[in-house]
Amino acid sequence: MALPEVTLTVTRYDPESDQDLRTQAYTVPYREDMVVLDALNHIKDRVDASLTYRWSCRMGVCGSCGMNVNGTPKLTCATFLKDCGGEVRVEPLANFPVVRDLVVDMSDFMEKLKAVKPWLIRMAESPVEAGEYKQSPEELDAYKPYAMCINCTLCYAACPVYGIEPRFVGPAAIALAQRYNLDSRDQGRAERKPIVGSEEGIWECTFVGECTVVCPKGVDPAGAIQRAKVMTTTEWWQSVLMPWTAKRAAA
Amino acid sequence: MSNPRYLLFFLRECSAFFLAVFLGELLCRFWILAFRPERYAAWLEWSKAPWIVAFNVLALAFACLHAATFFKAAATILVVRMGGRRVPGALISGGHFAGWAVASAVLGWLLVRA
Amino acid sequence: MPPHAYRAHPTEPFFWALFSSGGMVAAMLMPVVILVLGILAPLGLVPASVESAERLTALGGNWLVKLFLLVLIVLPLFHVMHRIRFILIDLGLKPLRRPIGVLCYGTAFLGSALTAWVMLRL
Repeated sequence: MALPEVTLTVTRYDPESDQDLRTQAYTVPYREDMVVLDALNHIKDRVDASLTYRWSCRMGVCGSCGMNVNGTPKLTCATFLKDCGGEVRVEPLANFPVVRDLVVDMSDFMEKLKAVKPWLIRMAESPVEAGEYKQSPEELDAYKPYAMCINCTLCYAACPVYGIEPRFVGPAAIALAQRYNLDSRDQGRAERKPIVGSEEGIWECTFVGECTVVCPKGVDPAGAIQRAKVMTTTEWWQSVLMPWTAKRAAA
Repeated sequence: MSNPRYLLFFLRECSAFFLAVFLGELLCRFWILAFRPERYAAWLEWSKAPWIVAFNVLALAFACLHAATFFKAAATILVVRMGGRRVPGALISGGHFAGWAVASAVLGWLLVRA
Repeated sequence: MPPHAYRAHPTEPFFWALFSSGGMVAAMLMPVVILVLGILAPLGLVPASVESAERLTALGGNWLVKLFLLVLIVLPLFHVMHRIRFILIDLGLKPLRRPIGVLCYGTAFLGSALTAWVMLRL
């Protein structure tokens, strides 16, 4: 009896010899519990060692294995072959420059991430003797979903705005900025504002919502961005209509 | 455009054009009433043309699409906490839809009866 | 990509407030207005008196009605022009960002001014 097989059509690109992206078909033995990453690993181990791609934890927490599977950005370790509908097309993550085969250059995202200062910013650090910064469960809930981001950048691949405007700060970076802005221990909102509140920040977003759809960790970056718009707008109108209520501290 | 959600997004944005034209119709009607009342009867006749009514039917469809997508979006944006837990999104958008029904009923009644 | 200067846009919050409130007004109220005034009335499915000059002028004399009509037209107008502005920009007209903004919001301001003028006169 012939063992079941599945064919993957995989993008290949060797910067030293190829002018453009091309595809290569591989047939791999199929088991019902296989994910796309398993198939890629089979190809690399047994069929074609030159295939180049990123992966690490194979359990959906590291964010390394993001690729476009049948046109949709997915974590290949979390995408079952049986859910792909027969034909499996694996391409590098959309909207990023391709380095080699399925590996993309994420440095644009890395820069934007750094630019939003994703760490707790304090006006002045309390001395250690003063004790910990306390936070209630409700205060934690205020930002927790945004802290779940694993930087996989599937959201950037899904965002049509990022596709046409590479200067857009993007879903993950803004969601992470919000993770800190909404953290009761943070006082850095004003410092993040020049990036987050810029034309390339929240105002570039037209709420398509694809980022939230593809996010594997339920971060809801679209919601984060719209809420940031509400916060920024409310603040602005407050400062115009009731300037005496402007906060003294920079935050 | 293979993604059905992109199609929905595209239609949602298109609704802007239809709403814009209808707002133009509204403004036109009241402008004539205010400045050229003698032409109002003629305008009313013109507004009965089949292509205009057909356009308005499309505009109504798009207005409803706008409303539906807007209320669904409200669920993502409005974070309401009650008793320490977040109110589920379905309740938020459901509340908006209910408000829509009430507002439409009230305004509809006022338009026809008041 | 080399780091670039992020551009501040101090007026975005102003227009976004109009956009979001206009979207709510448009969503809640426009469908029924389109239905009654744009479809039922021309088709004669409601009494002709509903859109008669006498009735509308009488109603329009009331300041509350004037205010209501002003809000009904102006806020959705800003919502719609804001959307159209982004549609035009996304269609690839990026370099024309500024002129498109001026055109779209200019139209909205013009429409608002006209509406205010009409309401004063009604």
